[in-house]
Amino acid sequence: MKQLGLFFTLTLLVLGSMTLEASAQGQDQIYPHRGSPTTGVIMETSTTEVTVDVRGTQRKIPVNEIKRIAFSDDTPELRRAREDILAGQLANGLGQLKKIDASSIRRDLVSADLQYYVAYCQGKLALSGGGDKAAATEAMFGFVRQFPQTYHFFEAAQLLGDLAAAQQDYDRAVYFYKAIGTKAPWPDYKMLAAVLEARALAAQEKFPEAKSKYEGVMAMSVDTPEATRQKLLAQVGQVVCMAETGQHEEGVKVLEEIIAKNDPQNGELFGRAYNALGRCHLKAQRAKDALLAYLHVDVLFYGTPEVHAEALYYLGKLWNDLNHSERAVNARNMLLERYSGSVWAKRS
Amino acid sequence: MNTRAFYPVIRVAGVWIVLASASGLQVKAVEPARKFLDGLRARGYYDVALDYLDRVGTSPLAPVELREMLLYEKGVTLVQSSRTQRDMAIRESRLDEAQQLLSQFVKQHAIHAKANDARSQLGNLIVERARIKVEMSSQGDKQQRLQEALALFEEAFTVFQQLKENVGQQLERIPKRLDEKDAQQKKMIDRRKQLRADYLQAQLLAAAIREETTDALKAGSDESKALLAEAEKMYGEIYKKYRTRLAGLYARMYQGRANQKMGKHKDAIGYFAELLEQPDSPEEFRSLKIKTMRLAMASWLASSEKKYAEAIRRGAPWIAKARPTEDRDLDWLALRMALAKAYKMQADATEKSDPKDARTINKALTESRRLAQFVAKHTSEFQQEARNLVAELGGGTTRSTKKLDPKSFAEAKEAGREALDSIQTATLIASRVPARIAQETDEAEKASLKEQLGKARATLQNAQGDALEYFRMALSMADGDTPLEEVNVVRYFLAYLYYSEAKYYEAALTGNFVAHRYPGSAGARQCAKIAMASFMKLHAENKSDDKQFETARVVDIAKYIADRWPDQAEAEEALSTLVPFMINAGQLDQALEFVERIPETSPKRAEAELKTGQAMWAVYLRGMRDLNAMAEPGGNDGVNAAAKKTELEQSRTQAIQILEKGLSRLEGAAVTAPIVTALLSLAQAYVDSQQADKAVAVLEDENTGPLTLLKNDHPATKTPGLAEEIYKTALRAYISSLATSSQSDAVIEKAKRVMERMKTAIGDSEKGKKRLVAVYVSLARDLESQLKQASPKARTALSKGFETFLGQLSEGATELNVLNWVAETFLSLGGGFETSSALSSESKKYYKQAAATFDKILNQESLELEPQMKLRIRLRKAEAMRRQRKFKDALDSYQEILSGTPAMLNVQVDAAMTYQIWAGLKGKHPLYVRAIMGHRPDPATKKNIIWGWGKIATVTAQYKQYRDTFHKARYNLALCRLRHAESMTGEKRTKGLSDAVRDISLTNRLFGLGDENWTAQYDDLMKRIQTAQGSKRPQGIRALESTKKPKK
Repeated sequence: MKQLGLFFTLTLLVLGSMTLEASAQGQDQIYPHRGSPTTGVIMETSTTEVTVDVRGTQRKIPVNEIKRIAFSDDTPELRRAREDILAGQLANGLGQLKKIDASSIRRDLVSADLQYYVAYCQGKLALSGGGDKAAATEAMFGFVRQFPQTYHFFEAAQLLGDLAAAQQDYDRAVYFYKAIGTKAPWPDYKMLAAVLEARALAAQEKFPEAKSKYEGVMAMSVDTPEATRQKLLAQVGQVVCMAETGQHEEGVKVLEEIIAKNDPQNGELFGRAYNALGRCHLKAQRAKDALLAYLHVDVLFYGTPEVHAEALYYLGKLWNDLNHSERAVNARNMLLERYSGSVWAKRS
Repeated sequence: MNTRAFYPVIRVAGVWIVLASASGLQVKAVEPARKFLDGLRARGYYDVALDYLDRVGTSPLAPVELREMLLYEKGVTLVQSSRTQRDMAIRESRLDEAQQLLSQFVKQHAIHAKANDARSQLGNLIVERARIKVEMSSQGDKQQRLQEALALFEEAFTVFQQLKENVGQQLERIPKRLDEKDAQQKKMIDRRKQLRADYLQAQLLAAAIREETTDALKAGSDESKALLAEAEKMYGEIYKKYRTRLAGLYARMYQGRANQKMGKHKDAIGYFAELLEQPDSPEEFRSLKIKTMRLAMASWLASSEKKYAEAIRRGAPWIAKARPTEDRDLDWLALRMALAKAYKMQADATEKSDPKDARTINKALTESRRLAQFVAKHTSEFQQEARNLVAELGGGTTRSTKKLDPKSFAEAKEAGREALDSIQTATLIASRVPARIAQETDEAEKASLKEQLGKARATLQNAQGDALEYFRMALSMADGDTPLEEVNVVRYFLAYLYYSEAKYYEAALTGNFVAHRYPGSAGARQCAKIAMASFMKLHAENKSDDKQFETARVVDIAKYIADRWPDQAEAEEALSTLVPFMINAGQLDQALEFVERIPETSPKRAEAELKTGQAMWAVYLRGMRDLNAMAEPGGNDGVNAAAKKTELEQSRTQAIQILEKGLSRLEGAAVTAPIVTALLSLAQAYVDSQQADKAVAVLEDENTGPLTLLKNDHPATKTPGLAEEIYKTALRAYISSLATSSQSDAVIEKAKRVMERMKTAIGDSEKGKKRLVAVYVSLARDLESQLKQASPKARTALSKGFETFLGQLSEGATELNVLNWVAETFLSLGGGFETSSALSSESKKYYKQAAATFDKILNQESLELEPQMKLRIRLRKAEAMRRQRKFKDALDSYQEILSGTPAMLNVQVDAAMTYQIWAGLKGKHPLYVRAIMGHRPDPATKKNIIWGWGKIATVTAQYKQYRDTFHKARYNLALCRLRHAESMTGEKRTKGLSDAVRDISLTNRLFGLGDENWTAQYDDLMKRIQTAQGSKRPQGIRALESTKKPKK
């Protein structure tokens, strides 16, 4: 906890005030989640915004609107790595990053980005493929200590929380998630933090506390698309708590409504919803219905490793119960091969 | 390339056309229910898919559109699931069910948007049935099944052509101009969209059928090429019309594939490259591109192209793009396998062009190994190929040597399978890597290979035992909930492993259990095969005379297989395995029964017929040999020779019929050694049954005639001893044909040429010459036997032919083998006219000619006969004299020979037999005493030079190796006593008969009565003596027990 304290002290000391040396040549590009990129020279970054000089005018772009930044002096490998990582090709991305000679990078912003993505890949791979979670935590923690004004701050905090949760250190996970909620100025980030906290509570089987946390999210009067998404995720999370506390039939009704009324393109939401549906059917001892629910995740909504890992865990059990031992072994093998770093692999 | 692998794509393309036909390349989001269903089917979870469809009717989450199409979707699922079934009967039944559902759907929803699609599926069902025929063609009955497949493909093509026309007519009926704002007209617009999609789908499927029809034709044949060209053209036309739609792009890909199949790789690559330029999204494009990549890789790596660098440049980035859930998909595994091969080609090429570039070589080999190892780990059609490559590259097995501790049936089963899989890879490594180690010059690489070899050998040592242990554990962990099918799979593996470990009882027991108890289970037939193989091994291992148990088990399981799965390849296999087994067991009737159960169209039928025919022929030959032996003086003349002969002749007729049938089925087949042997047997049987002309025709056939093949030095005639037999048979055939031939001179010339060729083949060395003499002697025996079996009329005709030939041959002949043969054949000719009564004039004439020819040999100094040969010729001359009934002359010869060497047993036997035969003539019965006691005393020693049966028996009694001669002597001694006694009356007769009984009794007491054959002969003789003694119920040798009693 001493380390954590130092981390946030440093962050607060320099919050919003660090001026960075601008690139002397070329233009940086800031890609938003929606719309066209902003081209200019990035002057400074903070945990919440990036200041960019666009033909002499300084513009501040909130971090929650930024999808990625391409720096004018990115090495080709860094640029390729960023693309790979955003496309989910983490091992390829890390491979590209390892080719870069860090000492040749002169601009701090680029150097920070390189360090962040290395730590990010390590962390994500540790969560799925079973790399060294402690080393990944150390790398990400080291990054934040070195670049406390990084615009990756909230992503870093979430990953640190996820790594702690995967090591079943839920108190530490909650600590990182809370940091997002308290430091981020945007309601949807606060909602995300609350959802993450609630999940950590549910993972500790503190269902009433988790349920209450989810309800808090659902009661927030924010209607941005991301906020709506978080509310739906909270609602799904709440059903898991209901299932675990004997209200599985009510849970099924809620989930069927969510599934019927929302766009299946939202893979994470649907994945979590079908997992929750599976949980409800399991509680009601409807093995075949549960199987079909988890199969939806395995067949259609496998994009979120944690979600897919959970589905595989239950599929392994259900196939066995339904006398398909070969399929059970396959599901378990896939869980162990692909998500050996997940809590679900540890449970199996 | 298998067209079938792409069929679902066409169907998917068809679905997409429905959704996107009006909006160019825009793809609407697809509801999860359908995607989910497709996903289940893609994973082979057909049972879950059907279960899901059952629930769709009531599920609030399922879209209404899907609920309306339940019959259709179930039908499609059943069609797809049928492909995974190895059991053809189950496969057919699923297709039947699918047909019923799809027809019902069409009937209930004639104007439904998917009605035409359902009609397409009904057409597709015909294609599936054609595929079954193609698959079954490899199990036998090839031509017929391929013909049936061709007919079905044609039927399916017609269905799609008609569907296309019908849909076209439906489209025609829809007005060209419609207003989308009008609700009614909007419906018509939607209908038009659907019909256009159906129209396109019918075209695509028709083209695909044309392409797939080539699976039922010989690759590269004109018919196949024409069909591919037709398909290529059809695909091209579809692409031209629909190039802005996904289905059009698929048509382009298939166009490339058709070019690829025609070997036009450059054209194919052009089409594939064009498609690979398309973007990766939407998802449907990605799917199209991975399939295109798979095809493109095949063309880049084709032997005519060898563009491995291009394959690597384009393929490697694709592998990097694979999503976690895709890495086990067939297309992706295919791509990985192709890339592994490309890297291997790169390493080989660099090794050749720039061997110093170790970096490139090692990198390429490492990549190739890595990719191949990945593919080798997953079950797919590429797994074996990948394993081979891993072994070639020296990749280690990934199996840990650490013992596992499975906790459930599934875990134990998986552990067992993993161990079993590792054996395959390790076997490959153990067989291939030593050669690589020997060639490798790089020490580091050598060390690495040695390490891999060590690991592979360790795996081989342990893995089989591990697998056995895990499977046993799995069985012990199975409970009431464990699916029976899975338990039986484990039992099958266990049976296999037991068999591999030579634990045949366990293998037979396990296999037999599954086969009988669960005949419907997936591994039942395999288990039955293992059981049969195990029982056969047990039969072979049993060295005792009692093999009743094993024989019965083999017959039972083979019959069971044939009865239980009569239409399957296993039945044919069981029957054809059983045939030689029954032949070896001497059960020819059963063998014949099994032969007749093998379908006439099966290639195994001909094989079995030839084996059985030859076995019958061998039985005939053995029978005739025995019969001739019995007919010899002193032989068991109590046996009903005529009945035996009739029986044997029936056997010969049967042998001829079955050989003729078997050979007629092999017309046009490549000539092999077994076929030549069968043809030879048939020719011999023809000669023996007085059908010499047929024999000559068989032997001289310009394509398959053994004589022709021998002349052409055909490899099928290289079996040791076969050439001699062919020449002998040819000579017999030619000589025998003289009896009826109008061109005897030409025939004799042919026979002489054969003799010349035989002489050249056997060689001119001393050893060769002796061999040639032996061959001719056996030929003479064959001719004698042939004469004996012929009818009197045929015998006369044959002898004339023989005489003509021998007369010509002996004129001016100076070679020992020829002269000897002539003499022997004259002797045989005489023997052919022997009757049990008086000496016939023919016999006398031929015996005289034989004696004269033997004399010629003995007197021809130029022959420089070796002492052994000279002795032999003298004996043969004595035989000729004896047969002329010039007994004194014959005995003079024997005396002369025995004077210096009295211990020549065979001569003593001949001499004793001469007295015995002589004594049999009217008024000569006192000579029986000489036959028994011997005669011709040596003036010096006063001992008889000719021993007689008594001394022969005494001398041979102590030597085991002469036991047969001993019994011959004891038997004939008793026989002589009987015949001598029969010639007398009163006390002398009584005493003579008692002496005869005593002789047999004494033999029995002191030496036993010999083998089965001798015991039977003694028994028969004993009965004759007992009858002569007045017994009305002669007991034979059973009475000997009572003679023993007083002694006790």
